[in-house]
Amino acid sequence: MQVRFEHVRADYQLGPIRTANVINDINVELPTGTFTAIIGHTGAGKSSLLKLINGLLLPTAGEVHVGGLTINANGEKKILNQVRKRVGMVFQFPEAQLFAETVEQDIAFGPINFGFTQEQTKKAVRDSLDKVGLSVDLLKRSPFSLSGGQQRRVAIAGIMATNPDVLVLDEPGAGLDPEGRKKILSMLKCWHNEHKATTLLVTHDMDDVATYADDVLVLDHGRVASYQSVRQFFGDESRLNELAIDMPEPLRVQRRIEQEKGIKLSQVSLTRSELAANLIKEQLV
Amino acid sequence: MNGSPILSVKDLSFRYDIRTDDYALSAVSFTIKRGDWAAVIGDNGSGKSTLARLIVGLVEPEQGSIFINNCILNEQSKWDLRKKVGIVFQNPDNQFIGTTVQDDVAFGLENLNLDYHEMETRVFQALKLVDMYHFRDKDPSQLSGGQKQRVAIAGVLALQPDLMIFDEAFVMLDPKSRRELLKVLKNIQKKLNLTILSITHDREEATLADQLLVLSAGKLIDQGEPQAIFQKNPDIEPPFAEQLRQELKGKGIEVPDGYMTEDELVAWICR
Repeated sequence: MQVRFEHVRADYQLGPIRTANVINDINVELPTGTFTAIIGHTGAGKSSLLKLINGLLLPTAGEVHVGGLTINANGEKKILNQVRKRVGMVFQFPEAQLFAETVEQDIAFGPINFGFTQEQTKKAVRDSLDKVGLSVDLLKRSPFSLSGGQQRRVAIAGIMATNPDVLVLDEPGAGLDPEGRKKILSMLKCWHNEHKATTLLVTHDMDDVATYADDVLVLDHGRVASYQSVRQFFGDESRLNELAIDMPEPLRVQRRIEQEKGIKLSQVSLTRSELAANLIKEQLV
Repeated sequence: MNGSPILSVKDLSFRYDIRTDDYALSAVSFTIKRGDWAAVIGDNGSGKSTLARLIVGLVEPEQGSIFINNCILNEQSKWDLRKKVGIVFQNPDNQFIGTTVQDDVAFGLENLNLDYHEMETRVFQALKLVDMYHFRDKDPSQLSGGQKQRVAIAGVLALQPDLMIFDEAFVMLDPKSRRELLKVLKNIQKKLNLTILSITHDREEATLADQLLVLSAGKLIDQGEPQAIFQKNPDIEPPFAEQLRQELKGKGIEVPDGYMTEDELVAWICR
């Protein structure tokens, strides 16, 4: 399912006071099946952009298209309901939204509300629990008796159970240990590939961008500063400096070696094994 | 005063549920000297956050004792000792009180009965340190995740506590601002002789510390300088440069033996 922004502007209104446009004239089209990383500095409008996709924040001008559905300033209830069935949203610290008495009830909440039959719900709950790598033994446990990492998996399973076409992820790995973080992200990437979903990932970690995303969308003060493929984006050194965006660790080390040795490697290294291979190929080690 | 222990933990054990044998912490002992930066690392569920909650007296140890400034932490002393310890949690939403950024930072100071001018100086100073001074009139709930975290850090900086605890307090920041903020903290830590205990998953943050404490399943399994720890414990994910050295070695390249920092590795490649 394609996601398209057409001259979208948005802000937050607090009583009579409006903040300056948090989202300022965004025009971008994310094709079906792509995995896009959304990056930018704190306050650039990343989370606001995500909220626009399922109508939690309505545009003050312009339109957001999700598949064949259009969200505009009116925010018609009927359309928003349809959009929300298609868009699965994993917020920052999603474990904060667990509420039910058992893991099973918590995961089933979405499917039941979206009109799945009992049979379908049961299957959806089991499938998604399996996808996030939790055992069915946990179904009758209280979600609050689980560890932080497990709670996060349950919360994500709840989203997957509704079988969305668009998956929206806001820092899904924050606060997990490096191992747990890798597991969650690889699991989400697998799900993305299997379902041919359109996925948006907000992250601050450029190594995650390099490892999981196809494209990068950079936001700066509510505008799109850049939208291109991951390899192209990180290859453009001067643009990265201009936007004050970090490099993934392997590339940062590559640039450092290049500078000290006064050479340029022919390829951009996005992962550790790429860097090792490039160093060997250019006979630097 | 340098060198005297500011925090010492002796034989600390804790269970959330005393009916089970599930120890969140068991027999943990260590000492942190004034002016030191110590980092606690370990996987989710290893007891890191439990340790922080015990040190600020949010939960009581089942066994063992905690000394802050050589004074034992108990029901009677905890109110006084808490003035000496500041903690920043992982999710800043959990600790906002004020209606504006500056009110929120001032909240802790109001409880200390400071005079108005002193309070104003400290609030502004702290906000400048974390680069949030221009946002001082904003409503904290309208800020982004990373901005909120900076305000929460300012709130603790303003208190100028003897011991600052950061429980994953930098996870919401982008790497660049995290590195900058850590640099700022390292500077003020030296200048004000602050003692910092940071609980972290971030390898870069861990390598900044003077000493590392490694927790695993509630036990303190190792303690020492970061380099020594990464060298001795191959199952702890080391900083990137060391990972690269190991990968090159695995591919049959002749690399120097033993742990290497990034500077050492780059120097070796560019030799």
